[in-house]
Amino acid sequence: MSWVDVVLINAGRRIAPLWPRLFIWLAKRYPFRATRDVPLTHLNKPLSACRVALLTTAGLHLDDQPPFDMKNPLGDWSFREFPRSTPRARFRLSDVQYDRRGVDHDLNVVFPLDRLEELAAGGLIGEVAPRHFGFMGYILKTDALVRSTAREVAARLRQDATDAVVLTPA
Amino acid sequence: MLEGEGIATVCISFVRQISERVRPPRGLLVPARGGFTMGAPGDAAAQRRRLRAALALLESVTDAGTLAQEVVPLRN
Repeated sequence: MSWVDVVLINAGRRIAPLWPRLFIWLAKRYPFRATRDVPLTHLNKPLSACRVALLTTAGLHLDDQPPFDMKNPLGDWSFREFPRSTPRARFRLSDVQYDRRGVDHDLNVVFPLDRLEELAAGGLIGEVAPRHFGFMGYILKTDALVRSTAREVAARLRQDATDAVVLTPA
Repeated sequence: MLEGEGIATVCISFVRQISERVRPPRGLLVPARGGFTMGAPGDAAAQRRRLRAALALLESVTDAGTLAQEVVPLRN
């Protein structure tokens, strides 16, 4: 990807939320990491016995964690960890480019942790995982994401014996 | 990455063009806009319904790269 692409994508993402057609145009040109052989892991137990975590790319962080770096033209591939019991009032939103009014009113519109707790209480899933994770959605340097931070998040999910993850963008 | 580590995933998406390019192992395409992925703020029933639909794909999908469309109930 050239620096011209980086500059165009950066300019576009700042005004795209105001113009949905531009958002689609941008999405078609965004250098998403192509997947040829899509992997698929089957659950080895019923969903009602599974431990489930959330992973959001909404740009959330906690009040004692640094916000995501929104100024880096290549994006920010770091992650934030959210313990299950975190009071909802401690969640913050980085200076994201999307409409933040929904999140400001109800965290569940991008990070449905309360809904997941309810489904666990109702027996649809076995239990809610002890840790959840957050990234920001804008990451051009996907190699760094795959090599370092995504690998680290996968390791932590395995430490927690998490069976499944629901990914939510914003 | 996660699937390769033995962790099943399902990705909720509201832009078909992105999902068709990225091809998550299991995808749920929902009628939403940026910042409102799970539905309207305060609408717990709709958010729960959407999350249930995503979780159901963890058991029902047998082909990698399946992109399902959320079935939205009609309003009276």
